[in-house]
Amino acid sequence: MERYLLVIDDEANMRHMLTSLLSKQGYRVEVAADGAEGLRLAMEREFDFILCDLKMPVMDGLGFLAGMREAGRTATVIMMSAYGTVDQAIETVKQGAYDYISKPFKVEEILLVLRKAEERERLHRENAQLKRQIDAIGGQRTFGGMVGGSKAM
Amino acid sequence: MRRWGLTWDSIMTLAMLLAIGMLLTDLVATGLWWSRIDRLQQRQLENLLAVIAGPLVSNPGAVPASPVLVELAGQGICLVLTKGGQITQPISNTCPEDRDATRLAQSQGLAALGSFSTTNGLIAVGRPIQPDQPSSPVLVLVQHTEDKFARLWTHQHHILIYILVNTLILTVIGFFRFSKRFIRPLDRLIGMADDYRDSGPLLFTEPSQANEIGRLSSSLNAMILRIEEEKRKLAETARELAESNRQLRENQAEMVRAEKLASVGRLAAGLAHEIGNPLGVAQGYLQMMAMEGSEPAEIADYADRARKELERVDGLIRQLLDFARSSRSRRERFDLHDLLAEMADSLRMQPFLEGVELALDLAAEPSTVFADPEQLRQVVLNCLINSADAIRARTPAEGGLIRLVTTPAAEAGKGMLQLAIIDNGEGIEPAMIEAVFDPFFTTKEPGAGTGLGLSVSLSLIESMGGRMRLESAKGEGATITLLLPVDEAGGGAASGPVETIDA
Repeated sequence: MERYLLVIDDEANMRHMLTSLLSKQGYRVEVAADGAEGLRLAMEREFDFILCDLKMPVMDGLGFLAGMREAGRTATVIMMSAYGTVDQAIETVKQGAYDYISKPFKVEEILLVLRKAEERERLHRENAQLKRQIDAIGGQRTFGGMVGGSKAM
Repeated sequence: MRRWGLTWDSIMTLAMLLAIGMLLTDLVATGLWWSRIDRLQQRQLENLLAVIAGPLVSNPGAVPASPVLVELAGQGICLVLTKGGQITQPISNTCPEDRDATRLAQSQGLAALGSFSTTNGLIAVGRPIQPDQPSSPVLVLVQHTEDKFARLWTHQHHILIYILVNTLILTVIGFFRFSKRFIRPLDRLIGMADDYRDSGPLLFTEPSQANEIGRLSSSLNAMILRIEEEKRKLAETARELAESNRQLRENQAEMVRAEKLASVGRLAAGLAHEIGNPLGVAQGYLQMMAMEGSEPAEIADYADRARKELERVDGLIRQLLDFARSSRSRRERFDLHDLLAEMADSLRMQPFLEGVELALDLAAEPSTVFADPEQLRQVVLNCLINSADAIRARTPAEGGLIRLVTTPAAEAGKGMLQLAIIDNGEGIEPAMIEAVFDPFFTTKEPGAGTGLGLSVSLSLIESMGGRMRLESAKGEGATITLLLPVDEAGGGAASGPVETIDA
């Protein structure tokens, strides 16, 4: 399954490195140089994951998050923060980002965060699917039956 | 003259007092003599009359013996016989011609027996020849009163000479006594005071004297001791002052260092942030190089990119070191424009300048200055930080602009080059402009600034022989103007390389 990933960073080198790295991991990567451009791309297509830098000209990470919330988009956004901006990164998590990762990061770190996010995505989807199943069964309210109906658990 | 003042005064006073005293005594004595001189003459005349009248008592018609009359005439005494108010017989031929004498004799003859009277310089003494007979003829002696003034002068002549001699002798005696008791001790005190150089307790010792001089001596000694004490305290204070001065100078160096560290700290925070990106990118490329399935061309590309990122990190750290460099710095000739351009390049990515446009307007020609580049860098950095903070503090925060403007030498003043750092921040209230150069004055949040920036900048610029001033108004932005000497002679500062504070 194709995974779409958006990298938003004002540093061209960072964009290039992440594109090279994540393409090798099988993601379809698109890039944006700032929050506004990222928001525009995010409106065009649904991304599975968005790696967003916190500090950027024109529109920063927080602005991007707010834009996404306004547009009703619920992508899994992972914030990238440099030294000294961890507080702000935590703030973004409160504002709805999935997680944050500190620069400089090791390749494993970013892959791990993405894997975790994917796992969560998967659970989300499963959860949603199960809910639909429950709705389809309709009226069945036995708790045990609900749990028993979940193959994943 | 001054030394003789008291001596002369005392001699004069003494002589005057003695003379006055003796003259007063003389006056009293003369007064007494004056009041009694007439009575003395009268008594003489009465005695004389008694002698003359003696032979006439038994023989009223007799005439006094010729020698007596001659004697009377010799003394200017007039002898008359009166009876019933009339001069019956002027016995002596020396009676005064004038009527006064005659009238006096008559009245005396009529008057009570034995009395006398004086008038108009005449004295008359009468004596009845036969006191037991009321109608007895009266013998009257009339004489000119003595010339009192002549006699007075004769007396006074001697007395005055005596007074003069006495005054002289007593003055000399009194003066020597006075001198021994007062002037010589005082002279000694003066001599001691004159010779006084350094401490010596009980310097003014007059142990033999329990009088005021002795007390003065001990007072002076106490004073000397007090002065010694004060001197000691003063020396101590001076030493303390020198010490605090030294500490102050050390603190100044400390302050410069603290301020530098504060700006460097701020740069470092920004730099750390900046380093994160290239470091992360380089790490990413390096790890990708190690991954399996990478093409050699890809690996070469990654290596190249990683190297470039590391070069960036290197550059950033070098900048920080440039600012933080601990330098016993020297003044040198360098191109101000190069320094400003280099600073602008390296600082543009600093977070503190985020959202602030940094514009260079470098018109000065030539653009060399004679200053300490490291210190100048610190000053300019500090001004930029202040400007950026002022821009951030205003509303709206967008559109921040800091202009670095150098002005051609001719406009700046003789031997000086002008660098203006102009921002459009919130500005400074006029009342605060004076205070901003004071150490520890800051309007920033605690921890955001040391309050030393401008104070240290000012001292650095002044130590380079330059000048620094600030113009601003609330809401109008601020302009820092630096005047920098273009060569060694410029700015009136010490020429040649100058060692400045180690910061």
